[in-house]
Amino acid sequence: MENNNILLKMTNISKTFPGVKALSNVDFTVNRGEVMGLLGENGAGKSTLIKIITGYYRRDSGSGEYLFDGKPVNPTNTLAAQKLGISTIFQELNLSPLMSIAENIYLGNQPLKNGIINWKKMNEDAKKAMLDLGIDVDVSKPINSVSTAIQQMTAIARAISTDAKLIIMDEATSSLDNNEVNTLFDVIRKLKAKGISVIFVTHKLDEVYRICDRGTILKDGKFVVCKPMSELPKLDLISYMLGRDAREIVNKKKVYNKEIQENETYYEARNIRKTNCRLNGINIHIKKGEVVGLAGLLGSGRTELAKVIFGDDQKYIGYTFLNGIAVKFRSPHDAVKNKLAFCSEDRKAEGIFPYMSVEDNITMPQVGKLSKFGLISRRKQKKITERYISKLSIKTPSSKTQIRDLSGGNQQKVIFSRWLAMEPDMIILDEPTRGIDVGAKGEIENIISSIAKQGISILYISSENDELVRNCDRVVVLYEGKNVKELVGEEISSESIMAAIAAGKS
Amino acid sequence: MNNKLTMKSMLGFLQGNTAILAVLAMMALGTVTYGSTFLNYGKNIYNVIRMASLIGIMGIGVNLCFFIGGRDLSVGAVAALTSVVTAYLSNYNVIFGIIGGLGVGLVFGFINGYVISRFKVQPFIATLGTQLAARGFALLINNEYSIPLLEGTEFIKKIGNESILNGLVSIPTAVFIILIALFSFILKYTHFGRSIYAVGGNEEAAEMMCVRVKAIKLAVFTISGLLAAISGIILTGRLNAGQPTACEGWEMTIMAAVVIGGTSVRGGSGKIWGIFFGVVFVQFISNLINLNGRISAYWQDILTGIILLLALFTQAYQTWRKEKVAERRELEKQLANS
Repeated sequence: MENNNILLKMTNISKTFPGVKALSNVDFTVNRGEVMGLLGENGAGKSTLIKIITGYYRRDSGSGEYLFDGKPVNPTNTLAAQKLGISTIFQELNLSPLMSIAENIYLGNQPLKNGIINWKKMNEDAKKAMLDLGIDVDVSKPINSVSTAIQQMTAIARAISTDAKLIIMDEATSSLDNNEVNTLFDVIRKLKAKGISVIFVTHKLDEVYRICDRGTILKDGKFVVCKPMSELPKLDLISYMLGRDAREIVNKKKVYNKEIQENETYYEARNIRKTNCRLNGINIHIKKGEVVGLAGLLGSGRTELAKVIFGDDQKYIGYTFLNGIAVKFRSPHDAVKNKLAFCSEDRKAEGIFPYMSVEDNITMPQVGKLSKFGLISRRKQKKITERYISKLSIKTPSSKTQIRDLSGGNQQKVIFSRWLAMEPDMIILDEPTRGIDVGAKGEIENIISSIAKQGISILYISSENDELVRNCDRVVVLYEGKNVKELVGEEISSESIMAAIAAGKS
Repeated sequence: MNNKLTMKSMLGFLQGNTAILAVLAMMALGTVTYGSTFLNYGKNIYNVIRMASLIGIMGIGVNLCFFIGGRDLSVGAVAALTSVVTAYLSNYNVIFGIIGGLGVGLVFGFINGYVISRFKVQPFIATLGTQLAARGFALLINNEYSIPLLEGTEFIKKIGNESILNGLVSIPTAVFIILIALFSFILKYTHFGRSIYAVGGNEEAAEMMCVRVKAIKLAVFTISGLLAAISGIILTGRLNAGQPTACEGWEMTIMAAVVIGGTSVRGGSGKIWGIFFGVVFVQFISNLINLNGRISAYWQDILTGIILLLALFTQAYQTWRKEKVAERRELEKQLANS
């Protein structure tokens, strides 16, 4: 039965990119005047779905149906979507930074007088539109000189001015503080009262419960469930998102070695805060030879913390200690000199030199040490490479093969080798098994446990909870930039980690 | 009190307008060193400004390219090709000459714009290509020789050499000023003009805000080609000939003038009239060197370079300071919250 109350109805939507199926047979509906939460972890397909709704991508031909306002539509670009009444407010606010608030609201629709732009009317209209949203601000100010919250409101005012029926907010609250979030939510309630629907994409679960009427959960490009928020307890929500039932059995657990807790503390960070509220006072310490897992949802501050530790981000407040001595790394280089290593989650962008050989990739940071009179000793280079190829059993035709010809798992081993060759005291691993098949995963995990046995401390970041269970001596659970729970040894399990995330702030 | 305020705001204004300051400094230097020889309007300053206008007309186009975050290296070569084509055709009929000249600018500008917007080629590289091609054609047409203007081309000669308002303003300068006024208006009061800034400020955002980014880019580069052609036609009149080797290296001088004129190298902001002071300044440097007669002409490049670096430094410093201030504000807010 067709329901007149439905504004957006998408059925059986699929989207294939070369080599990846980003969405398969997803259903999604939004009612009029409803706030719909769209939830899922990284790679769940949220942004792909949104980009199909807004016409940025086209769904696979022949797949499914896209009804807006009761009519089948097929917007081919953002302009077409906007004409239908679909506006998007992106996480990276898409505003023109040097233009005024008023211009950002009306760009492309400026009020005209005799064919030329009527600046006076534009500024008056803009002032009124902002006041409607409860914001009193000088609209002639350039947008890059006002706070993120006001920029956000400007984007919303723009959406309203184009007669939007549906406003999509993609991580709209990620850079707002609490008061600003409250203002935004007031505005969303006003939109609801006007009959405007909102799709609210976020990773902050508390906010979902505060503002959303219903939630749709995606996982790995598939539709999981769509329920009213009142029928969706937090623990259920999280297990839907992570795609693992809390009852599922974890195959293997790391044998807990109590003695490790007696070791000296190698690294410690106290009360780390960042101005954008991504980190809100994190305390963490890592002992020698210990594998500490960092658990938490996307945006809980895992990667941000790793960057702070590695000196890649200096804009934070707080104290860091190495072997009990206060240090502050000014750059990643500084961290490396102090025997830290970092395997980035984005291997392709930040890890490998794709067109260089395995040998060069392993010895890259050490060419200085391996050189004599400015000339690289190929012999020493080769010796190191061969040692690691056999030690980590890297499957490569030769040490001269270009790294891009290797499988993901072997590329990751090459990167491990690079860092191990520098003889670090601590390694930060950010999603070390991402994009690696199951067999290679096991090997990588074995390598990790053997390097920890050598006394190297490891900070293990992963969104796969059972991976943390298999590898870590201790797991620190982060939630919205704070460490909310610490699980040691036997306490670590998929369920306990999930429970800790669900418990959130408590 | 009131006096102080105006003084302060004036200083602030000058700080933001390096080019006006630089021009004033040059004039002061010229007056002190050469006195009335320098200050003689009819014999000296008039000529300096006329030459500056010739460069400045194509500078407007280059400046528009800067606004959208692009560069145009082809203007000098396009102007040279225009001058050759105009001279060649004008010897048959002046109207053909002008239409042909403008056609050259239109075609090359369009090619630039099309390649850059459609195939997402770096403007620097794309316009380098058209620069080489245009220069090649210019040299090819008459075997590297210039083409003199014959009888019956008085109109073009007049454009290059005569003046209006009793010899107060040369025709090139008048054209230049009219074009500046026209583009100032377009940039402030039309959708097209505002869209130019939007594209330069954040291309992706502009796209999301339904600005037709590709069309804007195409239009801006085509306009730049057309303006180069106008410069080329005036130049033909000025030289009484189509000169295939004309304007060599001008694209660099022009880019320096644009930046000295206060346009951000990042795009998205700036005022078009800055180019006026930019080009006048560059011409004053060469004027002062010429008046002296003993200083090497290469000092012009050296001084232009130094001023360019200074202008860039000022820009970078201002951006850096803005970021610092914003950062501190955020930090204070965070501390207040916690």
